[in-house]
Amino acid sequence: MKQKAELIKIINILLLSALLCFFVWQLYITFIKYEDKFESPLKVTEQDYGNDFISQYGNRYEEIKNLFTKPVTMTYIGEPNEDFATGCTHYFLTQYFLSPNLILRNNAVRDTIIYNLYNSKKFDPASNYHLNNGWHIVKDFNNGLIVLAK
Amino acid sequence: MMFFFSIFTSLLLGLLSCLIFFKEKKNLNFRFLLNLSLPIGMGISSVIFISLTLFGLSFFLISLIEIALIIFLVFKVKDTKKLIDQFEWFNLDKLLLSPILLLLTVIYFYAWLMDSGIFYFDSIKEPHGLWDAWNYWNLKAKIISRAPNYWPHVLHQMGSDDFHPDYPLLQTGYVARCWLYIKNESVWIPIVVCYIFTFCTIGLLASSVSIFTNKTKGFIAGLILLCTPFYMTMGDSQYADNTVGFFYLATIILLTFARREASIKPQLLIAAGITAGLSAWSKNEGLLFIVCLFSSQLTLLFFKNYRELLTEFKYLFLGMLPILLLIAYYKIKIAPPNDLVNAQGAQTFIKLADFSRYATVSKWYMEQFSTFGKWVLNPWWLFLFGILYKGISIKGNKYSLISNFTLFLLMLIGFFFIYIITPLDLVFHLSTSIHRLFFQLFPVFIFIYFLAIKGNSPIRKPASLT
Repeated sequence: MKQKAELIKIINILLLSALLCFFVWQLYITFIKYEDKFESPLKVTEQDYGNDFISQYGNRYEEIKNLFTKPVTMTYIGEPNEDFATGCTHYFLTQYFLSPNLILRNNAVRDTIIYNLYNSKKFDPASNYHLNNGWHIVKDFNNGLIVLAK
Repeated sequence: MMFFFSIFTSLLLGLLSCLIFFKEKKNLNFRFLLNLSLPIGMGISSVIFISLTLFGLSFFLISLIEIALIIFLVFKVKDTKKLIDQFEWFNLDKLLLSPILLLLTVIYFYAWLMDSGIFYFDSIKEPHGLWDAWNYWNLKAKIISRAPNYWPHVLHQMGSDDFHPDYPLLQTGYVARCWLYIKNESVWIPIVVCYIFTFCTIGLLASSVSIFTNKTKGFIAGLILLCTPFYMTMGDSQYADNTVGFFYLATIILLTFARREASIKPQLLIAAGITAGLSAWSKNEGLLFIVCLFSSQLTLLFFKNYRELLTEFKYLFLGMLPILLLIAYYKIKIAPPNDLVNAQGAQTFIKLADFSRYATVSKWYMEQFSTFGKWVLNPWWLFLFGILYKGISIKGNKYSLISNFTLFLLMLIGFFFIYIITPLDLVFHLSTSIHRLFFQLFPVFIFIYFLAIKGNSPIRKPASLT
């Protein structure tokens, strides 16, 4: 009986050791994916921090933020013929950086309109629908962001 | 400085509340208490902040009310010095006695450090979080912090298809509160908030399994989460899935504590009600959790007097009531209708009768079995091996295990039917969310598993715990 208990104890220890080996193996696999970063954390911090797409994109909105002293509801217009996913990303980022202003992209016409022409940067004033229908340019920020008002 | 103060006030709020919940405080495990109280404090702070902004109070006044509440709780707890003496602190001598335990401790802390590093590296690479984080959670935090008394109006007007403004506000409200404290929209606030929820879930799981079974199992339970690669990705993506997962876990742990003895522990049931309410304040899935929580308790009708169960329901409901009122007000008065709920109608019945949808969802459920967590080796086989080798016993925690396991199954079934009736493209919806929903329940599963496995020898008697 005592021998059986000893045997079970040994088996338990062996199984626990195997489990620990498995954990260590898994941790090692995870570690090697980040090995470079763990080797030089300061360099990685300097290299990565603030250089992500969203932070960089936010720099475009620094100036325009000062234009709205109180929350405004405005219509959003992106690039013509942009694909759905890209259009969504730019629209959501505009809302993200300009909140609590409410930016809506449905077809309802509002007095304030924001153009986010992240590629073309400019539109043709002669053929622009809004400029020819009572809106005027409040400010062109020369980075693709143009605010129109009635 | 204010950054630490904003989190410290929540810690105090949570800690003092938990000390009141655990009234008889002999040998209270400090690690357990800390991991439980910090997120609860953050949740309570979020509820207070959002509720009071709805009354039009200024942030300064809200901060004063929070501090006044802390002072009130200090007086309620009374003898804090005596309390500190009763805590069970980290004891190195005990660990040195067992080489296996020492080895487990070393691996546990190594994994904890490594995961903290991974969390940091991922966070500085994407400081605004991944898509859902900046697009829903942090966006709404910005709206609330920039317009603390105007945000309901902005959220009310938002398109429900675009920004999901009906999502609850625990994480969002807490981040906004901290931003107002530091007067700066630092990206570090949501990062730290998510870090706390992620690592407190691990700490709470490890310490509670350790209390209910033994230290070895506690460390193994914690290590399972620490070693799961995708669990860190979930945390540092700044999504609210780990937040809601924490409150699921806290609820079933508190329920297990409440049911360890023959007599009802009202304060622990109220605490479980609060954490269940906070889960619903974290994500919409939390509402399903509350429905499943009450439904799962009905299984106990086979073992308990219905009057006793009704009393338990009363305390549970009492705990979650203030939070449910806030959620109801937010959902009815402020947020636009939920996109999933709003799209239901005759189509729901057509989808329910469409068996190809059942086949698709079942296929995805099965696939999760093989790819879950991105482990090098499928961990489910290890869980299965544990059951085959040790066996299952529900003797020690009969009521808790039955109700908690039923709750776990009901949640899985609930998720299944949400997919069946979803108005979104089914495969798109499954591919973008099923792994996250499963991860919300993963800590709960581990907790139930370790309590059910045979050979549990509690280190202390339950009476000394609470």
